Amino acid sequence: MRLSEIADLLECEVLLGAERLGAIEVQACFAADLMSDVLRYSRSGALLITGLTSVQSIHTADVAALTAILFVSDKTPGQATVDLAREKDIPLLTTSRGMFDACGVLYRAGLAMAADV
Amino acid sequence: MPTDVAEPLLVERFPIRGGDYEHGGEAATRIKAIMRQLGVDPEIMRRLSIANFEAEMNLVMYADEGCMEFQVHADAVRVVVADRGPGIPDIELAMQEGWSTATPEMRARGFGAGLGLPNMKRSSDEFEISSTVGAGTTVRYAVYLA
Amino acid sequence: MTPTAKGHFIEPANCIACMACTRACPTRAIRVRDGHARIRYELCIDCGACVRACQYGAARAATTPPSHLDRFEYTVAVPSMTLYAQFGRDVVPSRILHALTQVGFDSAYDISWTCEMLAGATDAYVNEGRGPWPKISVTCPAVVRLVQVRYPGLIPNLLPIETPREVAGRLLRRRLSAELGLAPGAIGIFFITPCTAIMDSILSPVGLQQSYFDGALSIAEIYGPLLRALEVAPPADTLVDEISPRGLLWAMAGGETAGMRNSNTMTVKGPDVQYVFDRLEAGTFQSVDFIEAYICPDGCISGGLTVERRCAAQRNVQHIAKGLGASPAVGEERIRRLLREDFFATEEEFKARPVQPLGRDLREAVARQKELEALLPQLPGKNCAACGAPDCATLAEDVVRGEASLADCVFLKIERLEGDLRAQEGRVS
Repeated sequence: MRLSEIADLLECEVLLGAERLGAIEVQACFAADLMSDVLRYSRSGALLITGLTSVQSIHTADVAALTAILFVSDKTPGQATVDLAREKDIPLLTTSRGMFDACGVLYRAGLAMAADV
Repeated sequence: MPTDVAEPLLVERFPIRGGDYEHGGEAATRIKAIMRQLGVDPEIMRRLSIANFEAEMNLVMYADEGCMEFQVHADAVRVVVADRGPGIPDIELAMQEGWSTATPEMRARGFGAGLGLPNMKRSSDEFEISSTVGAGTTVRYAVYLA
Repeated sequence: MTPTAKGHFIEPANCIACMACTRACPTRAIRVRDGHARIRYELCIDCGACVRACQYGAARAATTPPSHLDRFEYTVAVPSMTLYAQFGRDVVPSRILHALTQVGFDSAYDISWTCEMLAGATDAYVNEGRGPWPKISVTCPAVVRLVQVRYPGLIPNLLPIETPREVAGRLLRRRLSAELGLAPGAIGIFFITPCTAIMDSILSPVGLQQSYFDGALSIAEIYGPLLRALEVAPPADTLVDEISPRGLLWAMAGGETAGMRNSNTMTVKGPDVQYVFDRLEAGTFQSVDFIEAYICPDGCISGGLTVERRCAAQRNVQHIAKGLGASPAVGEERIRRLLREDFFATEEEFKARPVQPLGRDLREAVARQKELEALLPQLPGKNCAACGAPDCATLAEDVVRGEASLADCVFLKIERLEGDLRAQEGRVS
């Protein structure tokens, strides 16, 4: 599923990378607030779904080779986080939906879990 | 002391056990380390630490158990120390200069500056103490940030 | 700081990233990154624990090479009291001083009387001087650095009296220049040091603009040549021992205050130093007048560049001191007068070198502190140092300061790789 379709599905606001959304193919998702869990369990190429808006989420997405970040519950990252994401070329989106909701919608739409569990 | 203090920027709680001399002073030490990380002025750190050590050792020496809560506000660092214990029967007497129940043995081991509550009050910009005999004591104090 | 500017540094070629120095550092100033350990000198207190911990010659001392003596027309060795304790009970200091003149120095100068005099000056200061109390000895340079870096609130407590070695250095240079008719710069004055901390205090002094020493040789390096020189019987007239027994005791922790009449003192060593300093700022121990403190576990005889084991060194000191017998006390009136004339005073004020707070202002610092606390439970808490930081709390701090990544944690990495492996196996089967 393309990232642009996900953005439509969840009525996202796109903070960064709007021009690339159509080209990014998302096979799977990983949802967590603890970056240590993201490091442990996620698989490369997934969309990261999280409520953590600090720069740690960008660093972790970068190290774990995740394709983009979706912030839930209308959480908005600060300038430092956006700047770092721009530097790392990681698209950022936000949705008003909570994490469970957002995950449910995407799961029903056919997206798989990108975890080892 | 105002009761409608604004939301603190940061809150840290440190449980303290009565009679736990071995760890006595550790909460105050950790609070000082946090203040140093935050870049608090050394003089403010010193004044709050004086009160913290005294409060922590009072709890260790006289109470059953309690908690030291450290709050960082934009305009002040505040501490609330609440304990469950025998309480203080006569607060006015306890607040008098030179009055201390610390035994020479306690002071010789470096516990407390031996000057008790008046020292805490002198060290802080705000100071409030309340106590119920048979239940416990709560002390609140604050040092203003520049 | 470049290696040549410090008395201790890490030689990357010898470092195998074993983390021993990283864990040993009392101020958590070392990180292992990109394959080798690196000292963050802004956090470093020059204590030399890293040098002591390293078994591979990576963290090492950089004392003055003996060839440096050739640059001077006249050279003097000024031994630490610790040197007198290195050669057994029966080798008296006068023989060691003579041996120093046989290994490359033109003369050797004993500072045991300077030590005794400084103990008297400290006594007088404690009786007459201003607070705040207690005053803290500045003999151990690592303790002074510790106060500058981590306890700047205690700077007013540092005793504003110069160390015996620098007082001696100052007097020596003037006297020798006059006696020998040489320019002061043509005279090389070298300390024989038990530790890298003193080397660092000579390179970057605190309390004075420039050290009166031109360098320091380590006890470890000079031990062999001295031992050989000691095998030769010295001339009879060099065997008169005019060493102050009270000064000699400065080699051991407690020796400085043993020479003081004021008994309201406390001797603090090793990890106890931070314990006491934490409480000093809060007003505990205020009944103590003077604190003698050492970062090394047993005072100078346990310095990183000594040779004799500290238990034997202690025995040597006690035996030699007893053999020296009682000595007349150095004139108290004279010392008091010199004190008032600022003869012993430090030339410069001690300056703070506080560590950078987490943020540029309170809000940023608090935000980072909260991030740090959120990270802590996510780390395994094993304090294994494999990530390059000495423990999990320090890694969390490095992460929020933007100097490290959570992914540096080896345990997190292992779990990820195990997961990758399982995923691969899943795909295959």
